[in-house]
This record gives sequence, C-alpha cells and structure tokens, in this order.
Amino acid sequence: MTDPARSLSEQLGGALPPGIEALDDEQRRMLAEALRDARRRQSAALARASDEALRYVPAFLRGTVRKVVGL
Amino acid sequence: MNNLESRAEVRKLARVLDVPPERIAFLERVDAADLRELRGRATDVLFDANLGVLQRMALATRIVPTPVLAKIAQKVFGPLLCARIAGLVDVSRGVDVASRLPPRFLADVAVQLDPRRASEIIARIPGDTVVAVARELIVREDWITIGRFVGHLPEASVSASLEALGDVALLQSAYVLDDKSRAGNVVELLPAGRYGSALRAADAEGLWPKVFDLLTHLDEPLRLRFAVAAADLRPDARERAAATARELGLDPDLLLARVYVPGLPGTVDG
Repeated sequence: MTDPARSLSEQLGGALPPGIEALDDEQRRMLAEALRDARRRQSAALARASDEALRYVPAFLRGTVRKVVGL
Repeated sequence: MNNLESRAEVRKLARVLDVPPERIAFLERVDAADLRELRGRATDVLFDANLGVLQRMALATRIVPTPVLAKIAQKVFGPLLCARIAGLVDVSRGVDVASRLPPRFLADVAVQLDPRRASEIIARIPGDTVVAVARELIVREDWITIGRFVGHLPEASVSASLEALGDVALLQSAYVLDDKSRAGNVVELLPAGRYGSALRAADAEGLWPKVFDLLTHLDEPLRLRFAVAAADLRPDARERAAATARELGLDPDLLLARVYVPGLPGTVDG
C-alpha cells in the first residue's frame, strides 16, 4: 500500500509542512485523494473547454491546431 | 497561532480542493502557517498541471485581435480556461481583453484564478471594473474570492471597493483575506464612520469572532480606532463582544480597553 504521507508529498513535490506531516495516515490519505481528485476534475474540465474551443476552428484546420497546441 | 486563523485557512483550502469544508475540518487544529503553505503548494500543483498545453494556447491567442479574443474568451473558452490562460498572456493584451468582458463573467474568472499568477493584469484593471466585479462577488457572498484579490489590487481600487462592500461583507472578507498581513492596509483605508458601523453590524449578525480575528492582525494604532468606536456601543453589545473574546481565549481588551486619545471626544482618560 502507498504511504499516505509520501503520496501527498509526491504530489506536492517535497516534504510536507510539519503540521500536515503530524496528521494521522487516514487524514493524509484523505488529503492526497482530495488533491488527486481536484487534478482529475480540472484536467477533464480543461479538456472539455479546449474541445469546445476547437469546434470554432474550421474543420480542415482542427488537426493542425490540435497538433500545434498539443491537445 | 489562533484557531480562528486556521479555520479561515481550512475554508480557503476547501475551495482549492473543491471539497466541502466539513470534510477537512480536522485541519482546524493545524497551525495556520502550515495550512497556508499546503494551500499554496496545492494551488501550484493544480495550476502547473496542463501548463504546456495552456502556454501553447496562450501563444495561439496572439494572432487573434483583442475584440474577437474577448468574444471567444466569453463564449468559447469559459471562465476556467480563461483563468488558467490569464497568467500566460501578454499583460497589456490581458488587460485589454478583461476590459471588454462583463463583470459577471470576470467574477466567474476571478473565482478560478490564482491572483499570484496574474497580478500584473489585476493591478492594471480599471478601478470601476474592479468595483463592478466586487459588487458581483458580494451578491454571491463569495468572500474567499474577494479576500484573495485584495493584496493584488492598487490602493485606489481597494478604497473604491470598500465603499461597495457593506459592513458584513467587509468583516467576512477580512476574515478570509489571503494575506492577513495586509489587513492593516485595508483597515487604514476605511473612513472614520465605518469602525463603529462595522462593530454594530458584527453585534447584529453574530460576527464578533471575525472582529477579534481581524484585531489580532492589526497593530496598536489601528486597534485603537476600533476601541474608540467600541466605547460608543451599547453595554449589552460590549458584553456580547467580551463573552466572544473569552470563548476564543482572547483578551476582551483587544477591543474593549478603555482608551484615551487627547482631543478625541468619546474617549476616556483612564
């Protein structure tokens, strides 16, 4: 099983602040999950917004724009 | 540390993580400075995700004239995408586009924006636009977003917004100010009559904890302004304030100390 503190610190890219490090495993796991869920939701929302934006690009250019922008 | 500050931080972190504050209420016993660091780093994680694509999208917007870009921003990009791109576009173009957008949409963008990443644009948004967006956020009672922006706005815009901000909104926003070290700068801009009206509003709306949280972030001369105004409160209101301070483990004299300011009527030489 993944160490909950490491999972959160891995997402945050470094050691946790002392008060967060001192939380129990379940609480740190909950924070790690909340951050992961927020990232997923944000990525999905951005992908939806980008797709919507692409609908306004002429069809014959969409492939090129996708490639250039990296969508 | 005071627990009120940690509670305010929990509400702000809940907004970043998009979870109900009750779900992370266990963090209220954590030092506010640690929570602030966690929130800042979580915000960075979210804003740095998808950065490559967003940078290329920001680059692509360069070829679009700003009036067209403003239309695309509102009708196609939507607030989330605009908020993520805002910090990546040229400042003058960003300001130009923002000035063409309606306050309601700008308020939607503000909710999603990390002000640290677009501070140059925010600082150059015209004051009347700032006030219009502030009014929109007040209607929504979105104190957290208001509190996040205060530290990034020029004094004139903050002053103008304070006029729009009623006493309850003022106390609620001050409680969740992103940078509490700026509380004094905001309080300093209040006209004389606001100290008393804010205290009366606090008593009427049960906001004494917010007042005491604010007082703990003010230096002595600014606390004195509230103490002078508190001398005019009704005895029952003063008693409610004192009871709240004691419940919070704070000294009621933060607000209710007898003060004497030479030449200022209503103060007591004691």
